[in-house]
Amino acid sequence: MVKKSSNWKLHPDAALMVAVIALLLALAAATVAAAPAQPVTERARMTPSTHALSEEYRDHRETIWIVACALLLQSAAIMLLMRSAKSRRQADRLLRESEERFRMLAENSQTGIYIVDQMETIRYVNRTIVEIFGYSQEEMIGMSFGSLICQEHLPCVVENFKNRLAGLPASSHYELRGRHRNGSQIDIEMFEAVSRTSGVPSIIGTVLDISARKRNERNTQQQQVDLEEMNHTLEQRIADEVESSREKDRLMMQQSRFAAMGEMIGNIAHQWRQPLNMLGIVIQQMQMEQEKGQLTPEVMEERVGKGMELLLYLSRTIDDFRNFFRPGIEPRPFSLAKAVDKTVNFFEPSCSGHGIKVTVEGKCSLMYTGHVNEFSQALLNILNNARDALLEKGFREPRILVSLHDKGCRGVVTVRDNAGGIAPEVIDKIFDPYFTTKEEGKGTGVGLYMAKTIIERHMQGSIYVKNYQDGAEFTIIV
Amino acid sequence: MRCLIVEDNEMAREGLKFFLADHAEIEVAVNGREAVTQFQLALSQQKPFDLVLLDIIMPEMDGQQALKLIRFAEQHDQAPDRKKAVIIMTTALNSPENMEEALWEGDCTDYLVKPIVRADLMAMLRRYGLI
Repeated sequence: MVKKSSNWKLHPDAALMVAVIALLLALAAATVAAAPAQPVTERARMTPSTHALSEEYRDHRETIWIVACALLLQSAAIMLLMRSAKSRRQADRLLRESEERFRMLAENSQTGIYIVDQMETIRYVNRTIVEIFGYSQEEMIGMSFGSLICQEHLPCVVENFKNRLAGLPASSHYELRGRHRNGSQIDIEMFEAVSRTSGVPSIIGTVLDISARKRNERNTQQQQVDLEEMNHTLEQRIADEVESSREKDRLMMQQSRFAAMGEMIGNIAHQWRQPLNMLGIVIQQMQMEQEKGQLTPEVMEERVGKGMELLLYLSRTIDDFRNFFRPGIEPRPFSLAKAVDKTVNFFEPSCSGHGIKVTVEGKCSLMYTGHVNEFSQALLNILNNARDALLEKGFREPRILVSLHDKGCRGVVTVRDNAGGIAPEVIDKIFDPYFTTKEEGKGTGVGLYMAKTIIERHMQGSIYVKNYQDGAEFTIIV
Repeated sequence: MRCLIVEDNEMAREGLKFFLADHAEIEVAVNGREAVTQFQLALSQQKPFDLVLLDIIMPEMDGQQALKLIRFAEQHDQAPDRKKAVIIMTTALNSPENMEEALWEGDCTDYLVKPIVRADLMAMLRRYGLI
């Protein structure tokens, strides 16, 4: 900023020259001492050369005094004040005024400014320093500068201080911990430079409270560490999650297997109770016939034949059930149609007693390579669901229709019942794990979820449900 | 004694018939609906059944539903002083819930779990004064 006196009309070239001198002095001080907050005030006596003066001054050719002050501010901005003076006296006055102005600037600066003498005693502090350290200005003047510095950084600061005064190389820029009046520690940033005002060397410095910045830095650092740690463990955590998800599936599969086994045990009990009853009747009949003298060899043969037939039936039943639940180790090709027939054969007895008609229709030539038991279990879960819906709602002429057909190179199995269909508000949830509409204790909510898991994940097929006429229709495509 | 055997399995039905042949005049029904019809017919013909052996799980109409309808028919019979029939449920479902429902809701007299042992059946009939 170039300011012209209202009384003196300085040629712009001359004013610029003086300003540059002051600025260079300020820059030199800042470069040597790296203390940008140090104001440099200089007086320069000069006789402007003809070419530097305007026409107006060419005739006077008198000596003029220029007072220029330059201050490098924290933000690298330069404040430059310049006056020209007619005489030394005026120059001194202007200098005093200028110093006063700078004192005001220093006082009101947002940066803390201090001056420390050779004995490390504080000689000047501005208002910002007072705010940073919590002392009053009066308390601080005369205090040892070291008492503002945290113990751990003090030796380094003192050494630099001495070196700087002795003209030896020393750091002029620090980030360190200061000590507040209340004993707490504050993060500060300091710039120092040597000043030789009036021939006495002293240290002029600036202080910034960087506690907030440091706090942010520490937070950022912590976040960075956390992030790195997170990245580092991410892979492991993903692996853990995947494993946990697999474990959950295994658990549900097992639950489903147990549920299906419970169902099957019920079926076995039902299938066995009748033949056992009949066997009991045959044996007791023989006893009665023997008592009545009616047990002829022919009758005996007939009764034994009947009894053995029942025994073999029981034996076959248990074998079939055992095979049904034996987990397959290697995937093998199986006929979808046969698997459907076999499953329906197991399932049918649990329906016939309740008057539920189960029919299979259609043809399918697909040979699928996989675990036949898993497919059977999925289908059985759907069939059980249909049967339970029919029993719960007590429909007349309850029926379950299983139909199958080829669709390109895939096989399609549909299971349709006439149990009134699924309520629209729950139809999207019926494949969700643990979702059930059955009474408490009757449904686990596992069956249809497992059916979906088996068909979609294990067999890469698809399964969906819709309401059709008077019931629900499940479609399996594999 | 007049007895109605209600059983969908032919062999079991014939077996029971054989067990009781010496003690009762026997009629048979293959499901609940038939049983109710025969029971009502017998009431209207003044030849009521003294004993009903009623299977629970049967097609068309199960034993529990038939039991309720049979008791309903008895309540609305023209001869109110007539003794209620002894109704014994026969079941392969040996679960407490089934029995409870049959005994308290359906008002059956007693129940037998399959396989039926003839001696148990006879002891039960004696207990109810039928033989």
